[in-house]
Amino acid sequence: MKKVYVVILIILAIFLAFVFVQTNSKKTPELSEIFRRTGDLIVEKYTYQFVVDVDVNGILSDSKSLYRAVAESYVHLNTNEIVIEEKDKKTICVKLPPLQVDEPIIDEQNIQLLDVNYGWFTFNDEEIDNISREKIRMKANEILQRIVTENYNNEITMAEKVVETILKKFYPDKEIIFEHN
Amino acid sequence: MYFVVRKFQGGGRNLMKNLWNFLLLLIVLVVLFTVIFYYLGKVPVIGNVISLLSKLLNPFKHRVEVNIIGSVLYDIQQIGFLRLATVLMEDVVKTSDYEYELDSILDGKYTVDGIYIYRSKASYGIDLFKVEQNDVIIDESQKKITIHLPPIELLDSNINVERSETFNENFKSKILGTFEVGAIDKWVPLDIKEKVKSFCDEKAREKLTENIKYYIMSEDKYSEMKTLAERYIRNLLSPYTEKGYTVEISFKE
Repeated sequence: MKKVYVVILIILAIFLAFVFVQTNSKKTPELSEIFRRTGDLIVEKYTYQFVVDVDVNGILSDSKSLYRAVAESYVHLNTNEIVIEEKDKKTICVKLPPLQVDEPIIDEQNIQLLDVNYGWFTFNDEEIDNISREKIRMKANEILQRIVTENYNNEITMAEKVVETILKKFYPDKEIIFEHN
Repeated sequence: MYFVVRKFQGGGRNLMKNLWNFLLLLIVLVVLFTVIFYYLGKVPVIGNVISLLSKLLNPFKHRVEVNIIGSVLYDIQQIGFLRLATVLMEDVVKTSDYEYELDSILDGKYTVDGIYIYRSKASYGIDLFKVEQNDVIIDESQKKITIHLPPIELLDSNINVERSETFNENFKSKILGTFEVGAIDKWVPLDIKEKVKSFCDEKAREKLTENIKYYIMSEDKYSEMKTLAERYIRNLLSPYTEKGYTVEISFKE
């Protein structure tokens, strides 16, 4: 009788132990490991079509032309550079790296000449062509900088939301604080 | 009679004592096994077996499943507007392209030769508030989370178009409605200039709105945005993939 009693006791204990292990255990990865596997957190594509006016000055060879070009660039947040520190038992401090912006890729096949006024003695097309390409490249960078500045706060807010949502899953009771460089 | 009552009372006390002993021993053993399983759970192969057994024996399985749906939905909706592409468009409006339309605006008295540069900006993305409970399906037996995302759309309801530069502008007045001679700018009435500006603004708005809407028509760009959206959602749900779930994402077209 006693043997049956002991067996029942052990089976019941094991069953309950399994239940408690399931409900209490949480496989929490190391803080530094959480974002290692996710890849870039924020990726947004900027596409911009822009108009460039090119003035080439010379004696009786002034020329004025207008081009339309298209460029693309990506902005992203490198997760490998996210620094996460456990400040105290209640707070996790997150330092997000600055957003990375790729160099603009200009679609060379899609540069259109919209308007042109050549001077009487404009002969050197190659020089105009080189100046125009340089001006297009400069304008592409300028516009990219403008879009990045305009969108910066939105991108950072988005990154913070994603990081906080993921961290809260692993550390529901902790407060997440973001620090900016 | 007295003897029978004493015996009954004595039996009851014994039963209570045995029950207390049983419970006490059970608590001790449960704590002991829980601690053992907890630490064994961290050992690679044994841990998987313990995890599997504990899931099979978990009577709260249904409750957990319901909570996961709510949690996934909350996580997705919390992001709000998921911006995938920002499109900035600049284009020119040449008055020479609209000679006949402008002639009636200019009362046949003037001509204009102008080239104006206009600019507008818009974003494409997904309004994640539109994800509903039915769009999140969790198959607990296969450990699979399926999410049906709303289609990618223009996030700005109004596309703001502004003139950024005047490349060239030259008003001329007509003599007898036929010959054109150069006219000093201030001679052209302001309201005529305003009418020309409004006309060009309207043409620019039509042109740039069309250009921006054309962006999503490109199959390459649309599929690239879909890939970016999938990546975002997978990143967002990485805590669930850590727990062994697979995530499948589709788009409502």
